[in-house]
Amino acid sequence: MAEMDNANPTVLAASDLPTRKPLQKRAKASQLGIFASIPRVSPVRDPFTVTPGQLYESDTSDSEEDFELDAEGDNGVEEIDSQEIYDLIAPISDPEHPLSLGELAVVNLPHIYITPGNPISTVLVEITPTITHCSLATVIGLGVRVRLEQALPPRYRVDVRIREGTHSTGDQVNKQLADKERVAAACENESLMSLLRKMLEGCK
Amino acid sequence: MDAKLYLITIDKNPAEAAEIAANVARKIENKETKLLEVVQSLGEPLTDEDRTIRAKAIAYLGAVLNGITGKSVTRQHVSVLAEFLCARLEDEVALKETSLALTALVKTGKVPKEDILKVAETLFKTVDMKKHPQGTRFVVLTLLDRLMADYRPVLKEMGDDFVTGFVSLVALEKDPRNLMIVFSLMRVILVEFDIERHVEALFDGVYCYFPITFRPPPDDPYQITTQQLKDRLRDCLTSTPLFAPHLFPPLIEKLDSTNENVKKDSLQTMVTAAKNFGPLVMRKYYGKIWDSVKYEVLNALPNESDEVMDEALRVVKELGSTLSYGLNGTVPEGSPLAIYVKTVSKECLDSLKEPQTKKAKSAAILLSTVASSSSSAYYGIVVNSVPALMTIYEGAEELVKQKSWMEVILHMLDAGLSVYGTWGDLNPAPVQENPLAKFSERLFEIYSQALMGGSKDDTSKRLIALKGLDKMARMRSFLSEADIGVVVVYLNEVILEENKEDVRKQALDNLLDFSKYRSNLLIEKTFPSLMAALPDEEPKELVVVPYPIILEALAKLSLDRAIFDVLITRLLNKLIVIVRNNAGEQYVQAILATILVVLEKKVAREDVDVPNYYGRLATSILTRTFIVLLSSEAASCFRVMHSNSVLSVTARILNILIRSLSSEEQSLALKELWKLFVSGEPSQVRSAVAGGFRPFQGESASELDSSIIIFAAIFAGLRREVEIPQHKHALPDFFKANVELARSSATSEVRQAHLVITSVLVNKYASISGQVSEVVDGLITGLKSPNQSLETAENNIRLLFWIGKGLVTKGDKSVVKLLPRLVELLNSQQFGSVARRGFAVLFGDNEFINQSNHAVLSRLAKQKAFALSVPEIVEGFKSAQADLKSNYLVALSAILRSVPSEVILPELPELFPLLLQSLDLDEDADVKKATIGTLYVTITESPGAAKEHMKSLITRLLKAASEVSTNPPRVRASALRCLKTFPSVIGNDDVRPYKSLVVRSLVPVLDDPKRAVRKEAVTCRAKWIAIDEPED
Amino acid sequence: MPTLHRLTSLPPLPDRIWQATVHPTLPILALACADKAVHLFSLTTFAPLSTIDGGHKRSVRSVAFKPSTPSAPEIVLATGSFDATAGIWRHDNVNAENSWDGPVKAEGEDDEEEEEDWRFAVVLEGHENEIKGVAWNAGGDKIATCSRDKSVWVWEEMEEDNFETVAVLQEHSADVKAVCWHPEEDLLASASYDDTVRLYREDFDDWTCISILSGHTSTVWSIDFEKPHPSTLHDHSHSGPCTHTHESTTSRLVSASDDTTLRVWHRTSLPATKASRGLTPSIIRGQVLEEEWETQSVLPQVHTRAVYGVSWSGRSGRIASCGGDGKVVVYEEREVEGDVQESTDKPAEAAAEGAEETKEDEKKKVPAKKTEWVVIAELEGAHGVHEINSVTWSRRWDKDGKEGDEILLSAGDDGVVNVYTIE
Repeated sequence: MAEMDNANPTVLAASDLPTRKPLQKRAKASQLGIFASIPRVSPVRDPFTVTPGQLYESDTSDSEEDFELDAEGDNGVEEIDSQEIYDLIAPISDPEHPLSLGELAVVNLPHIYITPGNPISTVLVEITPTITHCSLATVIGLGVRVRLEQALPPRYRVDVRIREGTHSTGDQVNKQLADKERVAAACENESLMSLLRKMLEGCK
Repeated sequence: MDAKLYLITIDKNPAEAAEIAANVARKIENKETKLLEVVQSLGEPLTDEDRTIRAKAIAYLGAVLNGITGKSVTRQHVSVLAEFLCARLEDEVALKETSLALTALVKTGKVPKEDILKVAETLFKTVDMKKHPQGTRFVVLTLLDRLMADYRPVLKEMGDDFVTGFVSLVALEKDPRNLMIVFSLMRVILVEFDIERHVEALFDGVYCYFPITFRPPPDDPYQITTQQLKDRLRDCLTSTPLFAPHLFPPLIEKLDSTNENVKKDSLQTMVTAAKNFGPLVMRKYYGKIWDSVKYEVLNALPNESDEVMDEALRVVKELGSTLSYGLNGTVPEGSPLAIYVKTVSKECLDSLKEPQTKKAKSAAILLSTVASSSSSAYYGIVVNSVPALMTIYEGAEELVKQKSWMEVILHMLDAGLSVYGTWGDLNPAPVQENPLAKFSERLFEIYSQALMGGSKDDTSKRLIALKGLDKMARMRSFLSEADIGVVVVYLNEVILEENKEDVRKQALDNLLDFSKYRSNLLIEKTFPSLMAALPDEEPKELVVVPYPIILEALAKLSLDRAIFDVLITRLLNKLIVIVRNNAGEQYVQAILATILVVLEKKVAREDVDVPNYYGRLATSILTRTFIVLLSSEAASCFRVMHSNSVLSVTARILNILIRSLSSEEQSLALKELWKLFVSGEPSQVRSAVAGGFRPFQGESASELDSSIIIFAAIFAGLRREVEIPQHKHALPDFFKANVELARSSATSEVRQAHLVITSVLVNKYASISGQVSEVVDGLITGLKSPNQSLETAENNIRLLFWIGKGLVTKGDKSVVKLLPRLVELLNSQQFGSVARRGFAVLFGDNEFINQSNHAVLSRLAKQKAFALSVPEIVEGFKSAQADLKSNYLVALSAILRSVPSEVILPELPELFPLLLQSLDLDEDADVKKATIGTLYVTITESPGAAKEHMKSLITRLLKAASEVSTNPPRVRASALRCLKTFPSVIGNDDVRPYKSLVVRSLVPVLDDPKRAVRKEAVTCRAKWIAIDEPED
Repeated sequence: MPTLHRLTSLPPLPDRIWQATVHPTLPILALACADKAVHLFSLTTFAPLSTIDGGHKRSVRSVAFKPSTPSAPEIVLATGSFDATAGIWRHDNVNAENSWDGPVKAEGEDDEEEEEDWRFAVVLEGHENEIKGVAWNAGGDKIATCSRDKSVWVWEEMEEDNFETVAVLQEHSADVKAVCWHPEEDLLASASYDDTVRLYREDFDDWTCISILSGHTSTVWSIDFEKPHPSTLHDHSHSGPCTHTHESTTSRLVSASDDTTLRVWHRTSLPATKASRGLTPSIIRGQVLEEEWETQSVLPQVHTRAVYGVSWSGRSGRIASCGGDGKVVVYEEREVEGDVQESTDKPAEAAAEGAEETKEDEKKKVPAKKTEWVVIAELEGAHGVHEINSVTWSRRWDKDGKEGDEILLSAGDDGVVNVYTIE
């Protein structure tokens, strides 16, 4: 069994990982857990006169409808923020452990910087390897970069870097991660891509 | 000549040959012929030099012997035959037939001892199994099996000869069916025979099959499963302690294998071995086993599934319980158990010094698993590790360490729970005192401090604290009664203060646990504090804990009877208080909704006590919500009782209550309610006749009209056999009155109430079917007449569809005529846009016209209606003008969305073009969403239909996902969800040509203004990108 | 201030375009694409001509046309791919020029028969991993390839379709990003991930590194030599004629780097005598570097991210660059008034390592006219939000272009090629 770089990392509890605070749930009784079983529409609603979004009885409680329409309803714009970037990369699994980069604190919300620009914005993600000589830092950095380049619109430039002073060969790794051509070539290298695919499987 | 006949027919027609032999056997049984004569008649064929003839002769002899019982043969005959057959054993060609014959002979039970010995010896001496096909080997093994079954003592007497003979005979047997016999014979030998001198040989003969890698062939006639073989081999390997020295070393070695199944088999064998070999044997091996098995838990490999770890935990647990055999709660100094628990504690404590690391988490599981193996092991582990654990806590400053430490202790509490049980358990707790109790003070203090003290925003700390306190409170003889009471008080506080959703949820779940074994605490402590927290009037600004959260807690805690009764009285009093304080519609509705929710949960749980709540609840609810409005001097604050949302909840409560009653109880109740709502006479419920509420007589104070909703809900809940009061022909008049009111009522709620009542009447009361068809025909002809105003036309269409609903639900034959006429309405400029919504009524579910409301249901109602209307719609769609086509699509999408997919699938090929075109209905987002929903279901279940339309399906779904202007977020998201399934559901080959189109067109959707849509776009695009990457 | 005017855009390719190159004498544009194929377009009609696919197992990173003279036109294409191989492709029906004005047939007509005219001639194997650049020398008898395996290989075509490796240069300490031949001499340049550019010459069939150009602070992505252009004056821009009187052979090079800057290098010392070159043994590792090149000037700072592509026009002497910030920039060299002095803007760090500056080398330096580079055109969002990987100048072939007109082509991650003119 190949010797693991860091056989015994510190593991964060799942409930400690930063999550998006659910929108202030409208405190109407009918929205809350146990009350959800009561249909929100009156038993004598006239199905012939249709209010948008509630044509069908069960439409309102469509189980797959897990998203919350924020204040502006259908047409408000929700900007991409660092929490969204975090949610994209935290579930990536570590190549060595059955744990995610979020749980291992390799990616952390405060180390994600978005510089909005027009037309091009940049996203900088600083990753913290679990130990200073981790040989897999490049693969992890590559995984983060490939995931973001696939998930973000093309107007974002993705920069992934090892945090200052957290890795013995940080600069060399950073240079590799910044080289778009080597990243593209890596994505065509079969063995590397199968490892990356396994790492990205966690992102459902 | 029987013999000759047999010899001829055996090849061509074995069944007939068997028949001949059976007759001969019968003749011998009834003494018509003698066995000896049969043998003599076989004279020359038996000695013929052509082997095949000899073989057939022996086969005939065997078949005959098989047919006879012991009583028709003498020992002397049998012995002669045995000798003869024994000699034939060398004759390899006839081995199978000879063995068969011998087995039959042995079955007679008449074979003398020395012949049995001879047979066995000759078998071992002459037969070389490797030369024979698996079928012959099987027959020989069956013979041996028969010998072992009937003459075991004789074989035992053979002693070593039998053992060595057997081992060499069966060596290298490969066939699974034969192996099953070999293993069972082997097990008997290992257990009952004297095998001291052959342990090595026997072990090698059995262990060589480990681990089983046999995969049964698909058409395996004998249906032997791998698991059966594995279990039988494992029984063999663990049947004698003599195997122990040979077994454990190789098993331990196998743990280094990279193949998960090999590791699992070895671990499982260790568990069975430990169990069978017992403490005396295991004392020599537990050390080595622990040293290797612990790594399977401490450094579980990333790609290895948890099963290996679970098996490893089972091994260490079995070691614990085997070594505690005979000890009950104590750990004698120096005993193997003492050493075992010391080593386990010491090694686990090494990793537990840093509780927050990955190894610490596995060490905690290891420690607690051994602790849970027996009461003595638990005692040993607690004594050896808990003191050290406590010092680790005292030394841990950072929060992360403390929290992880508390998680480690949760495992120890679980071990305690498994050994000492919870309050509710029936079996007695172990006699001696729980060793952990010594630390209960300090532990209770640590966990309470973590929950209640310090900052409230460290969710994970508080969650661990809640779990710990819950386990402590539930563990028998651990916390004092007072402390348990304190825990309940803490939980009440947590629920009532502002904090994270999952902390409150966990506290509520803990309280629910309490209701099982300390419900008195809930009533004494929790209820008062929750009720007190309920505001007496509608809170103006954002309060620390909004009332819905409290009501939700109350509802969750009040499922069993005692508590629910308390809840009802308290809530109804609170209702009056808040209404007097001019509470708004929302708060009033919430209070009533709490009662409704508990009733619904009780109905779902089929609680038997629901009906008797009618008496208790119905009148008090009616007086508080409806009747109070009738009295003229009712204060204006009660107006709120009349608002739609409150009426909806009141109606639903009464519906649940009435429908749970028997028909007698229902007719009794109806008498009173009829007076109240229909005839307006005084009734027990409302003595004084005041205020005009006679809707059916057309005079009632207008703003009271919508109270008819309550009556509609009650009426819908009646069983079919319940007669409506007054005189017998009242039903037709009542039906006509409702039809009129359903067409003319002012507000839509009142109109809808009457439509529901009409529909219920049509469905349940066959006696009025005459009037019903009259009304239907009248309505349809009315629609044809030009001078009908649009408004009346719309009302008539509504009525038509609601009557249709009643008819379709019971599968009435008049539907055959009615449905096509309803479809025709779609093809009209005037009525099309109204009629198209009607199909949602016909096919959709309605909360008042369904099984729980005793509606008349026909089994295939929907299928019939589908078959009657969908083909019409498809035809009508084709010929309809362009601007009317959308009517058909809206109607179709309503039907498809409420009908099970197996009904849709056969029609899918024709429907697909329509479904695709409904995706272009930009003006109707709901239809688009419904259509996508239907596509999602039907494609997952029968991808075939989608394959022909891939191109247009994909382009339309891409359009629905990316065009923000014409599609609301929920349509965009559902289009993406549907597209996401294509690679897996439809398979790569059909979707590959579209891969680059989809991957490129989804790029802009990654920039969708809505976060949830972006999320779907990311996963959908990832699935399409993954197409064709070779499966690694 | 002249502007970059987008003449047209070619239909998008299915994947990102790494490099665009134009045939020396015919209106053919070749595009190295990440879809593992080379796409060819006509520069007269801007219509697709043909596609060479199936040749490589991974993305094609670089393409180069073999130099050919109008008199003996031949169409030979070299392709370098991430699959560590380079391919040589020949186009057979090399008839009169017009056939290459693009098919006179209607757009939609399939150009099937064009397709199979591309013949796969030979594959050049040897590199351990991805090939990043291919280039033909001026004479057309040698090809240079460079790869991530830090090596630069020089292949010589003995006879048709038979190439031999004449040199394996392991000078760079990291991934070699690009190779480029001097327009006239057999002088080879290579740019690398190790932030340096190196020059090589062949003396007595032994290729040696004759100069190291360091100055950039990050990967050097692309390099291009100045082309000899007709000494007639150009009546461009009002700033007065700019005569480029330099040594007989133009010996300047422009380099584009990840550090967002572009540098023009020039030779500051000629080898003492041609003869002496042979004597100095060049086999020892720290051999004496015979030529010294220094940064002549750093082009004005415009790019905000890595500069991926640079091209030095033979016609106008202008330089164009493109980069990760989605910008295309054109620079022009202008005379600076005032007396002629020593070119003072030789930045200190440009002193070539290793070669100490002897006195008489100093004298060799030819007094240069004082010039400065100016940005004359800049286009932002040339490919929308996408990065741009390659720019190249070309003669204008399409019908509305006048004789001697020039166009600029840019190719980006969006798989699109834009064609610009400068007014």
